[in-house]
Amino acid sequence: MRRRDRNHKVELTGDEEQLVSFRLGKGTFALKVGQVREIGKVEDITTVPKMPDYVEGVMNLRGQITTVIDLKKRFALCKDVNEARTAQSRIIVAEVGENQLGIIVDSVEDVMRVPRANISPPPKTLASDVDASFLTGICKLENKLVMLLDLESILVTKSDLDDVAKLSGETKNGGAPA
Amino acid sequence: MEKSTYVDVFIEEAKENLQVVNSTLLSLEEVGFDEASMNNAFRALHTIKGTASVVGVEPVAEITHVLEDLADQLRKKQGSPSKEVMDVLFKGTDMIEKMIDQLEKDGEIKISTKKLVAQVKKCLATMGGEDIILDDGPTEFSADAVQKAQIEKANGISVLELEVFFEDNLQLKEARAFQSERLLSTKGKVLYVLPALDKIDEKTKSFKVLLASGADPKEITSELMMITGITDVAISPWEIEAGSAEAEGADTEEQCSKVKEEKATISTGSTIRVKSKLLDQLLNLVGEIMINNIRINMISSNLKSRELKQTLQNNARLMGELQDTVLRTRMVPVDFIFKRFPRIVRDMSASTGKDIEFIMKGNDIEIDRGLLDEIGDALVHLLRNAADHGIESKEGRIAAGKSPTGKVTLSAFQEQSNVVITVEDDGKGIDPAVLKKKALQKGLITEEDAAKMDERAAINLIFMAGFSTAEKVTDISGRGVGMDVVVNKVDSMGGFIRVDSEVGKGTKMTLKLPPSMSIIRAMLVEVNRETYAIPLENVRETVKVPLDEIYEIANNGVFRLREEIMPVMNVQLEFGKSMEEGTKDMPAIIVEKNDSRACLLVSRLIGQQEIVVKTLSKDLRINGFFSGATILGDGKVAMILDVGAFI
Repeated sequence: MRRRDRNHKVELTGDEEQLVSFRLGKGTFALKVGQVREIGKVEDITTVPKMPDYVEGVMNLRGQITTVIDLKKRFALCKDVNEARTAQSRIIVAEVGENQLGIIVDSVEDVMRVPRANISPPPKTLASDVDASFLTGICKLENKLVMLLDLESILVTKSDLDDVAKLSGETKNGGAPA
Repeated sequence: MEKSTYVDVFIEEAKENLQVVNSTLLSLEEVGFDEASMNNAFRALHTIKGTASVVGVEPVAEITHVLEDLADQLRKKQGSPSKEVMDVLFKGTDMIEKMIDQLEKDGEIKISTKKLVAQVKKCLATMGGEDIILDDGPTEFSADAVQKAQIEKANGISVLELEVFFEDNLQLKEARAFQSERLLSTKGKVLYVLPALDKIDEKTKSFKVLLASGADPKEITSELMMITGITDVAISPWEIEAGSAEAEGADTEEQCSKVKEEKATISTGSTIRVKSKLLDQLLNLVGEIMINNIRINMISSNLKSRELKQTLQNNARLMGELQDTVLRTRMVPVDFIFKRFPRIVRDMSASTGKDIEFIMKGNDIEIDRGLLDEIGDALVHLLRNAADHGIESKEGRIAAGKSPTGKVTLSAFQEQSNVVITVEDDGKGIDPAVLKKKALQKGLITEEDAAKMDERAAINLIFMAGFSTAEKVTDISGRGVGMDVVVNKVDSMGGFIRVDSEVGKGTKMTLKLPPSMSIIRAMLVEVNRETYAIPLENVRETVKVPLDEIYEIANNGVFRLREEIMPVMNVQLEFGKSMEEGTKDMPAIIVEKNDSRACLLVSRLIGQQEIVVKTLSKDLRINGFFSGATILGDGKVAMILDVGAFI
């Protein structure tokens, strides 16, 4: 991962946004720097059964239990499981509300500053494989398009869980003994 | 400290002071006037008012101000107040409570105090506060003056009590008194004049002065005697007992030391007030150290150094003590929340028109503060249920041959390492047949289910979501959310709830709570190469189960252990791996929860260990299989199984 201009990275004027960009399949995505807590290698993940397949598991990040989501599976970008992980794969740990969430990405690309004027809301139809509902906006750069992730939307949804329950063929009935 | 931290301190303190006010009001109503406790209530209100205006919470200051006046009148009047006055006082404390709540949650107060302030003022007017001091002759100094005198004394200035006598038939006594006061104020600080100067008239024979002064008493006496019309002066060093009751004296002393400490912290003996958040942090840190320690132990076992081993053993002992101490710092007596319950039951009995005697036992039993905060609402719910649904109406009780006064008992006690809280009533009890009927009507169970249910299972129906037996929706309970909320709460804390009921005799709810939510003993097992923890609380025993002894009944595997038949759950299959060919038997854990048991087949048993419970974010809890997670010695996460999911 390249790091440049370490010195004036800190200050930010009101009309600029600092982004961490990463690759996922063919697309480039980004999170705001403020949302990212840390970036680490993909290791020591405990799998959690009875969860949607895109939930990779949980990991221990400084004593906090952190859910890890495989973004490619979440976006259904990954057709072949084997090509999923490489040496470049990373976990980006981001803040979502009071919790933190780990997301597995193909590689982390860059930390960059972009003028806020370049960021616009996501168009309804996007020439990409990713559903626009997962995005908070898109950022146009000279040579490419960067999609800004909506972290809230990638959290596990109740309906996905219900699907899991149905798949396992057995729905359990609350806590009441019958 | 920034302003918001002051507000935090204010909120905490106000809550405590409100408790004092509430319990005083209750005792006023029950046992009648008691000067010492009335003074306490007055002081509590006074403190709230003071801090409220300091931190700028105006609405609270406004309302407490008038309430304080009212309380002041009451304690001067020395009699039990009328019902209207009591109601106003209760309303007032309720309003303050609401305000504090809002302040804590939203950071601002939206309640208007106008109406209530007017009500209180009306009460004040009808009580006719003014004529109280018009008694003949001086009586006592006010608590305020006593307090001031205490402070002066504590600062090393002697306090004198003077009684100045007038010549009989002297005209313009108030002028003489005024003159005397002027003279005295040149000698020191006049703390109080009794009766007040403008109340002195022809009939007054003498007046008392409380003077903080280093001057020679003889000199003061002789100078006072120079004033025309003063016949005699009695002067003596002031003692607390001289002015007020002994009990109050002791209280004032405490109050005084509080003032001396300047900041509004209670400083009784050797306790200090700590933010519960800090304690949480401390406990978290201890948890982290424990996890690290397990890791160090693992490393050391490969190193074969005797010295290292000994040091580590020492360390383990210290860690144990540290953990113990930290857990103990978090313990508070259950009284902490119990004391607000008499008020709730009182309100209930008032609004339902039932006569209810409320008994509390074991208020000094200690419990983890975190648990206590969580359990409060659940207990309120149980108490309301007992008073509303449990206890019959007066007529009903008489018809059933019971005493017209119903009894609700709340008790706490220790059972091994658990804290048990019970809510018991001598009301009409729960009829399993009625419950079954209701559940059928609501479509919660089928006829078939109902037929299979024994009494206990039927009573447990009240815990089902969407179940409420109240005939009509009352203001008090039966709002749709009910026992299922309580049971979920208790469940999430690793606790356990049990109902015992006998028709016509009463109902008893038993809550069994773990000593702490954060550090528990657990059994570690391996399933599909991952480690899982099962709280030891839920583990009854471990056995080896030959697979060919598992029988299938109605699509469910069952296993017979000694005389008992219990359902078998193969966790390995449940969690998505197929069985290895040729497996003959599997280790199993007999788990139990809420009186039901099941047999869980796992890949391997690892052993018992103390674990630090970490909470899970909501998305991980939602499937109901996991109640939390822990971090193992190697830094990996292990999920904690909620055995309820398998039973």
